[in-house]
Amino acid sequence: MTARRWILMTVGSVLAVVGVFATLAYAIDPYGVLRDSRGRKLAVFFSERRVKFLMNKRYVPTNFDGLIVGTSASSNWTIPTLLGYRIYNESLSGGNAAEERFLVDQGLSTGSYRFALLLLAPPMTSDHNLQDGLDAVKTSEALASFHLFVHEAAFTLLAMNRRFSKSETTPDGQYLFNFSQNFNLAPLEPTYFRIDPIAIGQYRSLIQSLQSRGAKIVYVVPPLYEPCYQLNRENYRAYLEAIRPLLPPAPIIDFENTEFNSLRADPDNFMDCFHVTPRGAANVSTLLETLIPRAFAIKN
Amino acid sequence: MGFDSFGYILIFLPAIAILCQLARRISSSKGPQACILVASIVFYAWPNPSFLPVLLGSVSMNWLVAQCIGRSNGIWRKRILELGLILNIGFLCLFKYLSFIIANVSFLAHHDFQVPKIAFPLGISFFTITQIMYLVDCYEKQIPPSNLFDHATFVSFFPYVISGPISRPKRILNQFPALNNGKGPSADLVARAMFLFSLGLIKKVVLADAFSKAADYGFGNISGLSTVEAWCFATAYTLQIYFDFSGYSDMAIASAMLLGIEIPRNFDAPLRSLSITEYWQRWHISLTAFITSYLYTPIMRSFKKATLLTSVIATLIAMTIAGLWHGPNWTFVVFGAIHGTGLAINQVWRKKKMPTPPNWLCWILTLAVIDLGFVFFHSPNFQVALVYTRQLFTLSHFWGAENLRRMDGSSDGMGIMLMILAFSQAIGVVAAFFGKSSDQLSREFQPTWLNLAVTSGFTLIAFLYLNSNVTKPFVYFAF
Repeated sequence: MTARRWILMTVGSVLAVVGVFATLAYAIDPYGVLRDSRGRKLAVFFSERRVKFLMNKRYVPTNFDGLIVGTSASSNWTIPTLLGYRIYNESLSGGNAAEERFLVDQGLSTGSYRFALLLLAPPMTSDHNLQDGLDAVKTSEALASFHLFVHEAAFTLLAMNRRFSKSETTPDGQYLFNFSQNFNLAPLEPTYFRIDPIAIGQYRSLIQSLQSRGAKIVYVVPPLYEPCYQLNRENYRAYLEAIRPLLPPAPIIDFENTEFNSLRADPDNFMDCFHVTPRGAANVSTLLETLIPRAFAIKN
Repeated sequence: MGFDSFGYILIFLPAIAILCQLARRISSSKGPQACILVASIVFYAWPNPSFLPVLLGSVSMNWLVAQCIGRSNGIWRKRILELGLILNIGFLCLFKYLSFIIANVSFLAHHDFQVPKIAFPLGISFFTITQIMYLVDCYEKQIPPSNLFDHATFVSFFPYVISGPISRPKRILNQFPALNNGKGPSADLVARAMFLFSLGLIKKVVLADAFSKAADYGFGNISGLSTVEAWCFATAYTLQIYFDFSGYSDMAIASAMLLGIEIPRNFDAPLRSLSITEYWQRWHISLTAFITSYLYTPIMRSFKKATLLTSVIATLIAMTIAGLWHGPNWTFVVFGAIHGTGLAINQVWRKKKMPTPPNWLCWILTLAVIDLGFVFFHSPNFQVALVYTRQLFTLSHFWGAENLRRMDGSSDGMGIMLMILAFSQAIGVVAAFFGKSSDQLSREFQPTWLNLAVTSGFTLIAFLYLNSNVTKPFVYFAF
């Protein structure tokens, strides 16, 4: 082969493979970012942050009117509709307000939301680190990237009616984790309740952005397993008292109130001190479906 | 704009190569060189335009000093060279070592002097020593002082301005007439450049970053490491920096080749070395050439008599200075001193004709010294380096692979990445310890189907990594 032919064939083969993969990515479009995603139901399997970032570009604002903004404590709550709005669960495992703001801003750049449920929990405001390169994600990752190939493999397996064993985030954004029960009944470190000034600033901006675009806001203090809560009760109350004046006013549903004692005291509702089981998530969700309309009714 | 960016690979480099070729056909005799100079200035200024005056100031100053050297004779000629060297070293100290010097003076004087914050211009270590070589070569009449256009093009040449390879002025300047008047690189050379670039890209983007994950884990959990783990993670860092820097050098050489300029090779399978002397003949070859010609030789000349002892002293001094050149930290001084000691022991061993150990033992001992050196090189301060060194030699917790198991992150649902990383690391170990060097592979290159598959495959895999946003910056950009 001549060198000139070798150069042409090398460049040509690279372009051809890139073209084939890009076409396939466009056809599958697992993040709903490359083409119109209205009405599509997109489940994802891997790289939660990057994937949710991409989905927030187009899929989430196109298909949902409301958000659950939170951490892993709320990531398996299952509320498809609330107040008539379709709800997407934006929560991230180990997430914080800065990361959530980053995600929500993507959606707000092309659309708007009518409702947002915002978690009041110490991890939201204890730091502002963006993990897993969240701030460096590019839309072109939807054309070729590791996480895209995992999704393409998953879609192929599912299309062949084969099971894909990786953990799944549902089309509504819920992360369906389920690990064995492990209650670590020890007081939490004071640093757990630290309020990072940048994180709280990000949270405030996120809420103001949503409100300025017409979204109704409700805060939710998530339930903790009762023995854990009692061990850290003073710190939790102090945290809530400190954070409430720092955020825009809105109704609050507080699962730490005495009326929810039975929910918190039942170990079957919890996987550990902070995370609810699928059963616990269903209980919380049912309660929220009743409590949120009531909270807005009282306000009005 | 790094070599491992889409902007460089898909736009900048091809555009410059095409413009140079067009300039050869339609413009005056200096057209291609003008293209390269403008491209080099754009490339250097791209990440931070505020550093451009530093580069241009250094180029202008050294050009003026070289002109003065060329026009003077006798003692004045030497004085002007000395002035030029002082200015260059002062320039380097101002931007790179001032805070280090002040911090040490503060420590010794028990007084808290204010440390000014001066930004560190990209590539200052490289373009400064390139110009030191230029002044010395002008002084020794190996080359005549060049005009400002040639000098600026030679110093700022974008493939090596930031991280080398450090190129002898004569070698580059002598290629400019052919660059401007020749037909440009042949199709054979372009094909070879593409092949070499793909090797460099895969080394940096896939292999170096795979080892960096392991090295970062090890250096982040020092106190819990067993002796075996400490050596494994130190070797992981050695492999990381090898693939990172040699990958960068391959891409630099290939970029220059595409423009029709040959720059020196920098690596020749150094991790297969059987002694520290051999290692430095294979690792960062262009720096070794500088140390030998511009540090070791002048130090040797300063002694009245060349003996084994003076050679050992000169080696230790030259390597310690070379260590400090890497950065303003005592850890780099120790890094240089470790290698200086290794080289000195090699010299004495050979001179005294002591028995040569078996090859496998030589290889292990050499790798151990390299690893130890890189522990200091990687550590942010002396305390961390000493704690790590203690882990390397502790006998109380010798065996144990808990951290090697935990490093995979499989508990975090990262099993897929683990498989990719482990595969990359296995390939990397084979390539580094048993494979041919990129230089050798590139010299043996033929436009075959196999090489087509390798080049396309490596490029596509590297593109996938680049687009997945998992790559890290080049390690040597910090120097």
